[in-house]
Amino acid sequence: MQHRMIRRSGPLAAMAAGVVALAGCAQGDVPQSTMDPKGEYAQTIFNLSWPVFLIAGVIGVVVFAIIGVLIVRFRERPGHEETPKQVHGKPTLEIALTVLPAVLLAAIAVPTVNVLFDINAEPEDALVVNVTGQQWWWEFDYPSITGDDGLPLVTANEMVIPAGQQVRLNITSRDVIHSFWIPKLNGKRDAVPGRVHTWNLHADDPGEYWGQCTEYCGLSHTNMRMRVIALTSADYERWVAQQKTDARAAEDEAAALGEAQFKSLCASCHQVDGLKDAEGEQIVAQPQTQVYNGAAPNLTHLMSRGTFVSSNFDLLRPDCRLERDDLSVNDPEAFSAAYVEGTSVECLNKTQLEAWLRDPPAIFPMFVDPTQLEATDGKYRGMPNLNLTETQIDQLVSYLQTLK
Amino acid sequence: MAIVEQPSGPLALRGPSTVTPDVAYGVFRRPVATSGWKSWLFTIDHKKIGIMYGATALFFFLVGGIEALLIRLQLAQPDGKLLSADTYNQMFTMHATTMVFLVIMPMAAAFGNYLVPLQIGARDVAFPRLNSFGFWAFFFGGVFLNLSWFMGGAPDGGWFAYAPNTGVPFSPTHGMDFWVLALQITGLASLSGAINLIVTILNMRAPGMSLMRMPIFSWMILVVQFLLVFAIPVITVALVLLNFQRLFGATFFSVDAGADPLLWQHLFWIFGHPEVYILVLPSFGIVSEVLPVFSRKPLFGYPFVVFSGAAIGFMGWGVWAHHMFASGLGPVSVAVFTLSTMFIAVPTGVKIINWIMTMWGGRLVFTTAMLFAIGLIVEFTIGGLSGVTHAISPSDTQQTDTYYIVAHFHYVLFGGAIFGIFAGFYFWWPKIFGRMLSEKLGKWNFWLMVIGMNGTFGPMHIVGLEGQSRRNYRVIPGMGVSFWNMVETISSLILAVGVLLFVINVVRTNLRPRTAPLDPWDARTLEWMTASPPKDHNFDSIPAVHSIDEFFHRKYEEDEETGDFTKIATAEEILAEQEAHADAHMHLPSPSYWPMVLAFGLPVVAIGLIYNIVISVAGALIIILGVYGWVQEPSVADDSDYGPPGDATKELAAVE
Amino acid sequence: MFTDGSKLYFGLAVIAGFACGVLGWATGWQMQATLGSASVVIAFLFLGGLMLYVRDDDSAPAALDAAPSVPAPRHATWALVAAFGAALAAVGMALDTRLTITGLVVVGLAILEWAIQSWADRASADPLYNDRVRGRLMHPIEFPVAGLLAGGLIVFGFSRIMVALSKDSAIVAFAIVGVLVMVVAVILGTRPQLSRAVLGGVLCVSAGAALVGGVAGIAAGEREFHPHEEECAQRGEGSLTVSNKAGVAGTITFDGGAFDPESFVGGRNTVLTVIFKNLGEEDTKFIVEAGERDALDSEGNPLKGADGEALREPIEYCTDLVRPDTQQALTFSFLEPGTYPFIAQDEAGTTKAEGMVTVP
Repeated sequence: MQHRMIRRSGPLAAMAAGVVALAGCAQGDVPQSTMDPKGEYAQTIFNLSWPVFLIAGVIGVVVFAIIGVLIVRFRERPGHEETPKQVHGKPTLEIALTVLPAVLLAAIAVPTVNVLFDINAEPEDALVVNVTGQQWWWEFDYPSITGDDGLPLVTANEMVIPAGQQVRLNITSRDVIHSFWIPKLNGKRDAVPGRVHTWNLHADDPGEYWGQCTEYCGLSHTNMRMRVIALTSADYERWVAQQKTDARAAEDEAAALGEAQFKSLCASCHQVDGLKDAEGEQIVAQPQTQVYNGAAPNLTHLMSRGTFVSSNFDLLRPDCRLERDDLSVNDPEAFSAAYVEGTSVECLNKTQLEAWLRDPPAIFPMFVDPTQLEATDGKYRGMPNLNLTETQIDQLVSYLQTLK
Repeated sequence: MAIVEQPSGPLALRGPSTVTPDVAYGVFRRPVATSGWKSWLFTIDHKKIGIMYGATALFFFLVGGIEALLIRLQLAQPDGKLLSADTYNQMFTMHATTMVFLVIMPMAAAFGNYLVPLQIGARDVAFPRLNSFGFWAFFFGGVFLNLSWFMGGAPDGGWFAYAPNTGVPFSPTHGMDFWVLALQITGLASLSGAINLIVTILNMRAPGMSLMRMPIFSWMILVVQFLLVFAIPVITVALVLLNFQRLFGATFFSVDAGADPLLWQHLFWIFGHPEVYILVLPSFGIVSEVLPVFSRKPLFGYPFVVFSGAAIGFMGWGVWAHHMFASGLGPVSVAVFTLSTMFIAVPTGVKIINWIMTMWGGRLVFTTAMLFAIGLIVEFTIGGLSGVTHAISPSDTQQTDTYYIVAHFHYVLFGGAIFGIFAGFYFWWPKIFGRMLSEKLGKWNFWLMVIGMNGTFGPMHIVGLEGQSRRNYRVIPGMGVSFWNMVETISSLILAVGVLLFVINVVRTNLRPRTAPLDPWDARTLEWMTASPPKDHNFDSIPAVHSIDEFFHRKYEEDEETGDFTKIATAEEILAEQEAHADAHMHLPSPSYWPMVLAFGLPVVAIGLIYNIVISVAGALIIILGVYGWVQEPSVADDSDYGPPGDATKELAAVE
Repeated sequence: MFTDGSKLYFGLAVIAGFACGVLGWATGWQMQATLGSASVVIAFLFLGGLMLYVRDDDSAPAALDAAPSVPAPRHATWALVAAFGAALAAVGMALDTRLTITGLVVVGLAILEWAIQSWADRASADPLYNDRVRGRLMHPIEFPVAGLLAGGLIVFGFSRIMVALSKDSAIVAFAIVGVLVMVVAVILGTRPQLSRAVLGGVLCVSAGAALVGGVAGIAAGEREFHPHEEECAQRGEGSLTVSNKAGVAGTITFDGGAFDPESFVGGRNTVLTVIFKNLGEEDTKFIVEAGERDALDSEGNPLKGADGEALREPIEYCTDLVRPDTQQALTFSFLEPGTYPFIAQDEAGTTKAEGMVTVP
């Protein structure tokens, strides 16, 4: 594999990275660092970048050294009042100093263009994932994997991929321009409405990789985050098998009450595959009737994810989160196994989930004030405050726990 | 209403004659004040207009600076609570828009207006009333833009205003409307100013001043004006499209009608990249004037600096898509723009090499102006080198829209453009106001700004590479970037103190003036050959030019054999010589109300477009009135002749 | 203290202020109306202040003294024009309101010109000077208006010629006209000594030709344009846009028998633009059946059937008939998850090929 070969130039690369990310190391974990590649594409880009950083640094040091020397050497000194020689220029020297950087840049240009085409090429036997950005979350669907409902798998905010395998992304948007970026796996690619952009991902090892929308997309742009979860192939197969299944009807009483609440309050926007109406028909969510961009996250397997609301909030309690983060860094295989287990009832971060249900716009800025929706024909951009009672919140949480 | 004054009685009663009445019949009595606030408001003197540009831009610099400080304070700690997400988005949009359109561009116009006629030995610009119109259009445009803060919310779509996020559904306040219309108005200002300066430079140079003997600052201004003439129409087109999209329901950027949002990005950056050079080239010009003076040597490789400036002006049009490397243009387009972007570094590098070679072998005098000039070389080099690192398009996919880019362009625009402007302040203050700014305060000012700027923008390289994304209203906890963000915020306060010292320096100079000597820096170019501040008519007699550094060569004589220079004349002697041979008649254009009236109509029309078309009609009437009055008015009032030499001498005696 | 001019504007400001009050009261202080009329007040106040400030009209007494001689009016042209306008307005009443309006505008302009003319004729005893006075006042208005009218007529005439000619000859005509303009411009540019008469003659003849051609064009009528699809419920508006290649999600080719690709996955509520490329032998249109939705009446309310059930209508996106070896873009989106067919149909309405979109 190409990237393995390039990595042999390790020591110098590490030096360059070390210099640039000096402070980062001192503070421990930097989950979105571009200097810490964890996959083929990020590595290829990094291998191209660091020598350029090095060259730029050397040139900078040389220029500053020259300026330092001339500041000391040619400063005005008492007693030397004579007018310096009026030199107007030395064309040969100037031409030489013009050609030199041009040649240097030409030398850098060759590998640049090579890498540019390499990272854009379509890999063979890649898993295809369609990525759709909207204000202010990401939706992922897997066109090659059909669920029990006969339609491709759909999930939100956490993209699960098999480690070591090539992934081909088709990126688009439902409203404004967003940009998909998982720094440790690859550079960014814009999600432009009406266009489908292709991009590649590859993760060497299982783990949790942070990402963020990086094209300014309005009010909550900052909060439009996502994660890529790389699993071992075995765990990935387990995850797929589990995602294919529909949600089961609630069994215990609290959950059943919650299911009823969900049907009346949430199901008009949020799809849960397997959720049936009174006549036993699948309820098809109609977000386009209430949400401007016509989409809301699919919640069928909410508890299989570790985060919710654009990966801004943890579904895991802080102690469980620490444990899992630790695994992600130190024991990728164990992390993979733990992730497929999903968020257990014991580990569920109920406080956070309840806070969200209580008043979503209070903790995540959105355009949901009914008096200010004239421009969108009364439709929300985000999730409104449903003014739920504490009882309703408890029941809903009980139901959401069953969505594994 | 007597629109036309009648010819004086006797003449009319004399019956049909071939004599054409020569009484100037303006619409109204034209302004005549030569002192007091009226003399400023209605002036068409390029020097007063230049100062007004500078003062207004400085005011907006403080406004934009406060916006920047609020941004930094919000980001001092993770999850900052100072600003809401909405306010923050408005803040960074306005910070950028203000700094680009209301600070650096008009600051270049200030220096260009003031200095170009002086540097080329002209008495005023080619179209003085157009000049006044340009200033007022900028002034009213700037005020209009900032009105949005009080009219329901400032623009929140970013200074780049990417469609479709700037459409009404996604930006429902009127902020973006204010933004679009204000930019149209200031665009008119830039365009009229550009045409004015081009005509002035090409037609009004003193005898003997060929283009290759023109001071380098005027050269850079000329290049910038050509860039403006071609760049402003592009943004105008884009703004008209967005304006129609927002106000009249057009679908230029509506994806469901089959539009392609990338259209906006192309239009914006075809303007936007040349705009970068529009911002930075004037400062390159300033530095290229300051360095030779304080190195006591001519600019090294003058033709190279001129042609590299012109080359940047041409190549600047072929690199716009490097702002769009992540936009999904496809690898072929990206490869083309990668190459063009890498090679625009060459003419930029040439300038840095020439500046260094100018200092090499010189006798360096470290005045504040010189310090800022050297500061520019250092900081701009950093900005240029970081620019090369993300010209490498694959790397750029990791760096674009992170703080790495923020670091880069602040090194270019703050370390480049603003440092150059400050060098210009300290260098030309004695020329413009006849008073010296305090050098001691100036050095404090410089060092605090250098420390503050590197402390603010330096760590942004690091946090950018560590994945901190731009335009985020909060620092996200757990990203490992909070330490450096705190450092940046503290440094930004140091930077603010540095800028404040400049303001204090200005105030102090006004309170306790120190009269400047005629030639405080031993300068080299034409503008130092007249009194400080210059007389209304700039030069008593238009000097004949024999070399690039005309003033220097009048002061110093070269020994043919040794090549050594010896001083043969002082600035005072040269000035006295000029006064002794003053021109007999000097016609200067006269002040006028109309440019201001015309410019005032523009924001009224704009407000009408946003709120009620009736207001636009009122505005249109004001504009028509302005045009009409302007057309009716002869450019020179009857009594504007500066008269026989006798008067001029009297005036000059008073100055001495 | 107040000058004449300022009195006028201040008076107008008072009236406008009163009107503003009435308007505000009548509309219940509606923001736009009030603000709009208030701005008129401000504009008048501003102008009044300006007048006051610049002391207009100081010369008025002198002007009164200086106009004793009254030469005979020299021009009757404007009377003629006004009469023509009045006649036009009268004819218009019988034929077409637009003619009436034009006539009235002509009458108004003629009266204005007439008044200025006769005023200027009394300005002094020097006719040359009087002409200059008139020119100074009226030229800034006359030249732009005349230019606009002439330019507009020429453009209109030229556009009529272009739509009357067949597609191919329109291209040829356009090229010829462009070359002619260039040639004339080069000749004029390189020979500055050419007399104004020649120059004016050339320009007048060209403008006249454009106008005559335009009239002929109107008489000949427009050529037949390729007919647009009218039956489709949701005609793909994308097929009219210029971004034919830039913003597309992909290309679907039709070889006369089958699609390539035959199926694809499209997002729900995601706008997609695809290019339909017809490589078959005959005209074909590309149709996407995107399910159905509640039918709405013209006011946007849901239509109800006789049984009270909401009426449904199909959502269908289609291109125009695409000629062989050409292509057209189509923009569409899907409301609900599911599978949807897309089909190629010939002019007679026969389905030639079928494909499938999956919407997760």
